Amino acid sequence: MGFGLTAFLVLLAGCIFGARRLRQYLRFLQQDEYHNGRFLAWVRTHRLFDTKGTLVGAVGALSAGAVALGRLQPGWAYAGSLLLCATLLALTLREKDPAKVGKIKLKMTERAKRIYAASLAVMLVVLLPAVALVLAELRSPWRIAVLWLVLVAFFQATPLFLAAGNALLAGDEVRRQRRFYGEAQARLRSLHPLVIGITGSYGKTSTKAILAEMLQGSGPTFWPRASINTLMGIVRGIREGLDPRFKYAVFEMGAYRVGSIKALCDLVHPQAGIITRIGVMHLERFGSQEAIFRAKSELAAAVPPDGILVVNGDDPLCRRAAEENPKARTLRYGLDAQAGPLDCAMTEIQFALEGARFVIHWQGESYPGRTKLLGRTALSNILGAFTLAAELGVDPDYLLAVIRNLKPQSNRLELEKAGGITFLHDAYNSNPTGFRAALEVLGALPAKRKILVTPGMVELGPRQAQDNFEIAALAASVCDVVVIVGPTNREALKAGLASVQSHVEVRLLEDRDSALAYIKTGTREGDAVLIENDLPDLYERLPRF
Amino acid sequence: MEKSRKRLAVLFGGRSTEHEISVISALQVMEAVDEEVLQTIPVYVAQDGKWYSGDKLFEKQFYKNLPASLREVQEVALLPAPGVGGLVVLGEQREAALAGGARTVIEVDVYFPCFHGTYGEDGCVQGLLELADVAYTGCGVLSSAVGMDKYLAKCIVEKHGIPVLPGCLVGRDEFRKGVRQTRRRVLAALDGGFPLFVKPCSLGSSVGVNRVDDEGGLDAALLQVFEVDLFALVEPCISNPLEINVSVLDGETQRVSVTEIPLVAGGGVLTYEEKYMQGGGGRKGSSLAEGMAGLSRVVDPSDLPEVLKAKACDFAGRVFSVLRCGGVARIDFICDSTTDAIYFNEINTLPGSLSYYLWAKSKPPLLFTEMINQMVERAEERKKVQLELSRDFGFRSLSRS
Repeated sequence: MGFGLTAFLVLLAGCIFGARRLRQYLRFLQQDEYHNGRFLAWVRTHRLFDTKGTLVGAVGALSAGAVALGRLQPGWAYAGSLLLCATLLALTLREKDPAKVGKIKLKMTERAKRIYAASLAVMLVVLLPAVALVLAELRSPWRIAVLWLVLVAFFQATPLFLAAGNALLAGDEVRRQRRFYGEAQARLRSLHPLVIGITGSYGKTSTKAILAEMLQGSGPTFWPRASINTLMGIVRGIREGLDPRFKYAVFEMGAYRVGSIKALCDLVHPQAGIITRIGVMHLERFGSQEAIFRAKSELAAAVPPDGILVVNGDDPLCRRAAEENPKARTLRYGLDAQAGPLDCAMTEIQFALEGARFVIHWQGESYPGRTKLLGRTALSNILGAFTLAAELGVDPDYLLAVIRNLKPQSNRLELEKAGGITFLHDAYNSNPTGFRAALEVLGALPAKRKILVTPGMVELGPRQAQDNFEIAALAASVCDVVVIVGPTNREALKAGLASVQSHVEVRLLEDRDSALAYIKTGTREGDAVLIENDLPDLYERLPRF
Repeated sequence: MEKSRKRLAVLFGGRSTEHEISVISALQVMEAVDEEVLQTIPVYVAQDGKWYSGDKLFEKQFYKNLPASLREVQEVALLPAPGVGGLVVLGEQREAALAGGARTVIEVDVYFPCFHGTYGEDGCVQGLLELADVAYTGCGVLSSAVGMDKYLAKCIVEKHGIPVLPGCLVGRDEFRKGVRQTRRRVLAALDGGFPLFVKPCSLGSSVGVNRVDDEGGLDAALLQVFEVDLFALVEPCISNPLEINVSVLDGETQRVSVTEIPLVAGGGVLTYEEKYMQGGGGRKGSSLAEGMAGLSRVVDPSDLPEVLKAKACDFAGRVFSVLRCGGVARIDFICDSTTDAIYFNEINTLPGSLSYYLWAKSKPPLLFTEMINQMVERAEERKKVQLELSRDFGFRSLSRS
């Protein structure tokens, strides 16, 4: 077993590990809209540095060092290194593919591929001379130890390689984007469909899909699918899909920071807009609710004075956005009139196994309707879309037919009956409004026992403990059993449950697996089980590298 | 030896929601073809509308490996011009082949359309076969087209004294212009009572078929139809409906098969899944691979009164003649089991599995192989009769001036 071969294998294993890790980081760089500064800051604040590879490298360096000092037989340096190479490869295989897991998955777009390739090149360019130096300068047996140390440094520097690759392509990217942007803009200008923008802390993807479905009745409607809501995502959507037959174009606008919605509006120039809710999602990213408000208000500001602005009248901040940006037609929709007068209201809401019943009040007429969708959150989205579509002149009766045909989306308060048990899957929720809506539905369903399984809500900044406390207090009045999963919000939830008088049975489970096991074995016929918040997501939120 | 066999091109697949069912029916047909008399040339029309031919099309595996497997077959075309004599192979000289230059032609004597639904069962392919002036089995353009339109078929059949349920036709434009007015018109036309049946006017499978119990449900069901069809048909819903199907085969003398009652779990609407995707309780081991033949049903039900059977068979034969059908068709009736009244419901001019399962149990039984032979013979005869017509083409006014 020679040194050369060992060194080669160690390097190979290191490169494979590094390449894989690069993909993991790429996912976060993408989420930060390929902004190097934000990406590196995020890595720093979340201490998303490598530990696994570093640990392996350190062990390698120590064992090789021990050999060098004569504490171990020389054979150990080689055998140990091989063993560690195998460990490194095993670790690589165990890492989940970022394109397949996670709430926001890595999308291997052409740009992502380019950055990945450039970063790999940077990685090799840096690594190879370092290794050559080690090989040339040092005598055996220290050089194996140093080689491992080089790898450690290399693993730690992975985010930098990615940032370097990204920076290298920046100029090219800017030119490319400018060209694409220009093409998209030209296409929009020449086809001029009626453009509608939708934003909000949550509910915008659903509202977009519902509105698009509704507008089809009046004319072909273009809308980028799924939750495409970034500038370049929308540019791409327009270039690939917008054609002359479309009468309407509906865009979802994501606010990643103050200014992102303005940039989107500068491209698409919405003549109408919907703001679904201004909440506390991504509070950590924005810093303050005021900043979130300013970001979402950009849509209200961008709608021209003779345009249509539709806001959620149940949300004081949405109302404020409308007041600060007066339009020819401003419409407030809502499920309760407590926050002020409504232009389109939904009342007499009832939930049952087959869905919800309601009455919509619009321009002096009442429209009783039904939907298979459950929960006030979904109804609010429906009402927002209804308000704008009706204002645009689509027949309200047609809209009710659309609403009745809407299909529940998976994991958004989706009802499933299995083995006599009613499951309410509400994995995509980590906000108080959605949670409350889910509990209301659970309360309305007929069941022998009502069970809540949740790890609580996260990403709520300083309000996290208080919000979880309050929601638990509400849950105590609705549920017979509450299963608290994981330690994240355990104390706050427990305290909330204990704060009100109830007979609720509380169970504490360590992790998602035991929660799944409980759901399988601990429930029985006649139960209704609400599974609230994405369980795997919580564990993945801070990936351990 | 080879020359004495007739070359039969079986056309299947197509641009239709029932594409897959068509593949299954065609595989069944090709397996039943009498190889001593006929040589089968499979012609698969892919979902994008391109035509392909090749021996790989006989294998089920081919369809599981789509679209990659398309490389193993050759693209062909039937030109809309008489005298080509068969399918033109579109190889590398695609342009030349279409222009009439150097081309290979797969010779065909008779075409056997085996499509279900749009573009294949509705007269479109039949029109192309007419333009190409070739012999083909089954219904012609007109009966295919009328058979595909549930409303028109009902109107014509009713005119000839066969009872049908009242029906109200709704167009998508009307609905979009005014939902409430449309609903009022429908309810007035059908005397107002729920439940009602809503279905696409011209789709064969059960996609978009709904039973509705209230006004909102009617609107929603119409909207659902308009995702797949431009016209919807609304009919009253009989309280104790029983479906009775009969097949009719064209021949020197027309033949009518035994009756069948398809079984539906729960007694509601036969969903697409129930129709094609499930085996069903009645028959063990049925699967998708059996298509329409794999559905649970009772053939020649012993508890169905003979009078009803006779009535259904009589109506079926008359419907077949009135619509001037050819080949084999399946005619579906709805029977009100409280009053024993029978109503014509719809006709399938290219029924799933070509209804061979009904003929196998008819008296005397007719084997699938014989059935195909008979259809091919009838196709050739029809072509001959057509050729007897004098057709004065040519220029008269232009040549004079």
